[in-house]
Amino acid sequence: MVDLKENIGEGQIVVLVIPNEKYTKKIVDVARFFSETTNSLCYVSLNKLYNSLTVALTKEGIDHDNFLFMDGITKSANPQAEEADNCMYLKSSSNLTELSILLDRVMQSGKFDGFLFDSLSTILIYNQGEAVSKFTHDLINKIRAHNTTAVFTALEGDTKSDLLKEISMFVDGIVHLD
Amino acid sequence: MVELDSFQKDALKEIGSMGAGKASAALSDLVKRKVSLTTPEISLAKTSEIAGLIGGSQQLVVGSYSALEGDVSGRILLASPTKSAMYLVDLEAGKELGTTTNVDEAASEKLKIIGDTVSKCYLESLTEFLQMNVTRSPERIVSTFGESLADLILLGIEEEYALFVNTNFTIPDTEIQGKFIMLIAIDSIDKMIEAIKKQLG
Repeated sequence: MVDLKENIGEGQIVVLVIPNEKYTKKIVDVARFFSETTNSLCYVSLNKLYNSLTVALTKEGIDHDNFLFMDGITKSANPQAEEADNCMYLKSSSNLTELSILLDRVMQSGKFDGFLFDSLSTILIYNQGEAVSKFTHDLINKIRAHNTTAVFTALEGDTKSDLLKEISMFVDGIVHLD
Repeated sequence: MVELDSFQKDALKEIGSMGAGKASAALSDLVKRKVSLTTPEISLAKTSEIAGLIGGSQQLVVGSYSALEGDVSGRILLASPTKSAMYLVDLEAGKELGTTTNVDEAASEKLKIIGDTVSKCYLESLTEFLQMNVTRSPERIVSTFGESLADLILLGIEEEYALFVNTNFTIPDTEIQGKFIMLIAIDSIDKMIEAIKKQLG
């Protein structure tokens, strides 16, 4: 079993490749890793609704008081969803410009020493690989500038995508979870 | 909570089957292929148990989602694994399977049209047979991990119980598969039962 603490050092940027059948459990393990190793986390969730995610984290005993969530799914389904103190709702998971502007603001604040982006596979649904590659490269540069520990997740099926091949050159490692 | 007798359950099942039949015919017209359906599963269940009933594939899915309002409140969703959703777009546009490689704005619009047509037909059995007034919010394209579909369908549903109708579909020889899911909040069930009684005597 892959030990996240051994594979993700402080200030490192890593892509975690998660087997589809273990995604739901592994994403909780990654959140636990950040709650135990960083002071504050920016958690971009494009797959799980903020409400469901926080319920799942609480159920697993993960302290998420110091997490700031960026939820790309709730408002795409229900634009009238209630606002939450520690969540920034995106209008959709597909708009890289909106996501980029918000992430820029969050990174500039310098408040976060942890960053979790879940997932590259989701933005690949909506956008061409080239646009996603540019977005990811720019984001990695911002993360590096703040020495933030960062994880980008991808589902196993995307291992052979051009995006993963390209960003493997910019990150500190690609770790396959088992 | 509402208790359904076997007659009411059969009536709801029949309405679900009619809806699914109409929806599959509409989908078949759009993609110009035969659509195969499973028998709709209809359950009046605790909302906390709906995740187990939906199941959901262990992959990313793309769905066309709308909220039901009026005499009935609930949700309706047409969801398919990403590859299936892109294949549906190809078939609808008369293109070779595999032409669409992501759900960009154009593909998203196609999926909205498919979702809108299918949902409208799905609901017709309810609105026509039971003479109920049901409106839908505009279709929205959403993606999530298959196992989280229940979270999406239950978004904004506060009631402890709901009527849940799930129909799986496939399009033979194309690898396309997906689900029609309709969820009706418990507060609406009494109205539906009354309407059934009125129609069937």
